[in-house]
Amino acid sequence: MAGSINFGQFVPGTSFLHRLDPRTKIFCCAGLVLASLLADRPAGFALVSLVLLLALRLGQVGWRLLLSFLRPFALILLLSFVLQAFLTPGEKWLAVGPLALTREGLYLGGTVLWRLLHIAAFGSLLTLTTSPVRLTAGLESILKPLARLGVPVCDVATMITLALRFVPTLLEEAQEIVRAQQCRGAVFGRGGPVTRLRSLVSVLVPLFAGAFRRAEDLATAMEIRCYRGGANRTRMRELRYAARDGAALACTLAVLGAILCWRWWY
Amino acid sequence: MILVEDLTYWYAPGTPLAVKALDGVSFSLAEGKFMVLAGGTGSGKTTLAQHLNGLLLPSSGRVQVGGRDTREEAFRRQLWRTVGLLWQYPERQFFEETVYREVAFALRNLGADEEYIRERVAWALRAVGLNPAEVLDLSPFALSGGMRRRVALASVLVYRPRVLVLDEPTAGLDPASREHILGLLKKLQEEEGHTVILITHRMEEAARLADWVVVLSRGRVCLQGTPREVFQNPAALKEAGLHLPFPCRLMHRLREEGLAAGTAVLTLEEAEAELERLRTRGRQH
Ligand SMILES: Nc1ncnc2c1ncn2[C@@H]1O[C@H](COP(=O)(O)OP(=O)(O)O)[C@@H](O)[C@H]1O
Ligand SMILES: [Mg+2]
Repeated sequence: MAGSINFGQFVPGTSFLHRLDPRTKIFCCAGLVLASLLADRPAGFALVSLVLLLALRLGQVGWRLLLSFLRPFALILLLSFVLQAFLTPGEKWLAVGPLALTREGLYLGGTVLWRLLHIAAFGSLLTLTTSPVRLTAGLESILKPLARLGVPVCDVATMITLALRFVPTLLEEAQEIVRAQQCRGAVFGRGGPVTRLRSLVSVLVPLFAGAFRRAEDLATAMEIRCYRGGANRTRMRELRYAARDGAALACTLAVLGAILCWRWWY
Repeated sequence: MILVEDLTYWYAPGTPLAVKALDGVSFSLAEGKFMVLAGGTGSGKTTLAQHLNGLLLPSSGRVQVGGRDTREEAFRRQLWRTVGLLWQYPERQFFEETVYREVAFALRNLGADEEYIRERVAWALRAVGLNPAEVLDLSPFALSGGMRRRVALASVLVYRPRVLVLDEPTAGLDPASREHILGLLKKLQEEEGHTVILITHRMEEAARLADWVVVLSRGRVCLQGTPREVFQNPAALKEAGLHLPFPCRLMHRLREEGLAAGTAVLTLEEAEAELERLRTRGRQH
């Protein structure tokens, strides 16, 4: 849809989340994703959802914004839910032809849906509130120990960030190309397989051509600014943990701890 | 033919990145007229162009083409055939292996038969000044910049949309290609009765071609009228980030120097006549 915000977009701001150290956000994001995956009972689900609500509040991220992020995944999410709900054997609730909606299926499908939604939401919160530059700095700092094993940490971090940075750009460009081809009568989501394929190709070819062009421009731009990868780059703003980082990490650990306890001791 | 009423459009509404790209835009254009839509970078020209063939729908206000609202679902789906939009940098949307297939894309989507397609493609290529026999089997990516732009234009002309909307079709082109494209547009309007909306920030083009000029500035219409009327207001044009065409600028300058020069000139010929008039009158005194 034209005119909404795409997955992976950074929105500048001054909220609590924006001011957190990027490393803290990466750790918290990882911790909460893990918690979403391991939660296995209503109390756990409620706890993690509560944390998500709190995080949305702290990042001043509205519901509509988050939903526009998740929209591209809607179909996959819905499909996975429906398949699980109908294909899991168990106590039958509602029969539709040869298929039956089962209680177990509903529970399983619901759980998977809940997990995917929360993982996508926590990931979105990270990219929404962290600028690409800060994200690179954070990744680099976290990955630093790997340098001893010969991993080119700085380059890897830059690569990951560039990839993340270009996700929204590419999505935007894809939408623009779709609209441009519609001007020449391409139809999307309707028509026979041949028409559909032709329409798809008419978007993919220009999209890739554009991506290569952009990559080349970016490489040139970095080169003429004398960019050098490698370990000795300095930063304008050094990363420093503050009290709020401690608080955020402690909260995340507490939530993760609670989920783990529930899962393995009760 | 085209009626835009109090059109306002927001990108990403309700988010922190919301942008009001169009703000209360109104104008109308009769069938068979040539309109120039001018404005600086980021003034909303491209956004407006996409409203004219229903790719974007107004946040508020309305857009009508031939008396029907672009919000009508069924109308919207076939609107592209009435309003042909040449995208900005259209050659970036090329994807076929040959010029023939590239130009034929729209007709294929209409399900036309091959014989007819062949005929129309040859006609469209000739119209934009290319020799079909030479270019039909080339890869569109192998052409020069000017030729690519012409092929892109041909790929819109090929299905004969009655209204042509062209988003900066001459940006970054060599003078010969530019002249050819502008001449072709004027010819299509005058001889075949197409309605043309040309987006540009070169006011010389407006002076030469337009029946009607709409100037956008930060999403609002800051000036509209015939070219002569619009060029009477250099201050507002400057505010919108545009220059007067040279002949007109010259006359305004002479006026500032205290000469009684008429400023309603569009072309060099008219400027010459006006100078001649000033000269002979000067001699009489
Ligand atoms: N896809 C988009 N998402 C968000 N904002 C946009 C988008 N496209 C254009 N804009 C904004 O809308 C305004 C008008 O843009 P545009 O219509 O492209 O102007 P022009 O064609 O006159 O240069 C600009 O401020 C631009 O930043
Ligand atoms: Mg534009």
